[in-house]
Amino acid sequence: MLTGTPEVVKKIVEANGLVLGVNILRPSLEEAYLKLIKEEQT
Amino acid sequence: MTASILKLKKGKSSVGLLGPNGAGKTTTVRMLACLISPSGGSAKVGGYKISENPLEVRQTVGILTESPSLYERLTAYENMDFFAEAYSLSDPQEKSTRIRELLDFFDLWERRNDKVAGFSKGMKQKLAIARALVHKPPVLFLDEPTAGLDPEAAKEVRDLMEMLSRREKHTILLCTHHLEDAEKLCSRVMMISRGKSVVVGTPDELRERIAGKPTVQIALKKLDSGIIEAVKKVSQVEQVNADRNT
Repeated sequence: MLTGTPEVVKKIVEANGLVLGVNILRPSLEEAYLKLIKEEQT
Repeated sequence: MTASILKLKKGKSSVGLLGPNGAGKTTTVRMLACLISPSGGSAKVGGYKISENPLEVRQTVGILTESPSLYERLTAYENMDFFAEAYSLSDPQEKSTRIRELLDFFDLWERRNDKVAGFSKGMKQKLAIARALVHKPPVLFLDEPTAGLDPEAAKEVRDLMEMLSRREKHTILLCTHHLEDAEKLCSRVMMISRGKSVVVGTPDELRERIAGKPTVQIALKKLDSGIIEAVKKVSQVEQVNADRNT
């Protein structure tokens, strides 16, 4: 969980928002590796 | 290889060496293990210079090369015994205790009297890692330890390596194409390309530096400007992208 996530959810609820789901999207090491190798080859 | 700098902490440190085929991973490991000579430059392993103290370096490292190179017509125990002798473990009690300890750890003790020729690829790989550890080297080089293994065997080897790095406090340099291995086992990762170090850092640092920061996706029943403004006020939030269609 990212450190700011609970605070963000709290603020949404305080603003009368109804949270249906929370998802952390983190780039994988594979994505980083493939991006780096592609950059190196061009 | 040119101008690659990598300093590993003593013990309990696992570093992954990543790069495409031909990047120089195996060459790096072979140079560091004194199996081939560098054309220039210098490196120290366990405090010993590879160019000046190759014998000391070889005693300091255990290496798993891309092919296990076991004696197929010998049993698992005989293979271990042969390499223990080669590494000058001459005290019979010490030697047999160490061999038993390793064969137990790698779940091969029950098969100790079987010839290696009849072993599966996963069993051979486990035995090759056990063999690399027989002289209790502080530094361990593992070159593609899960290559060619089926998913079950690869997971078993990966889990054993993880236990090993915690239990025996080795400094491990892991060459791999399997990013899952690097992510699970390595505290730091070096990516190399065409013989050069491109980037070094923890897996989290590399992910963030190269592929961007993580994102929190929050699904709401309805979205209005009041909610967006409230979220923008949170100090850790750098950017808010509102998608009203999903």
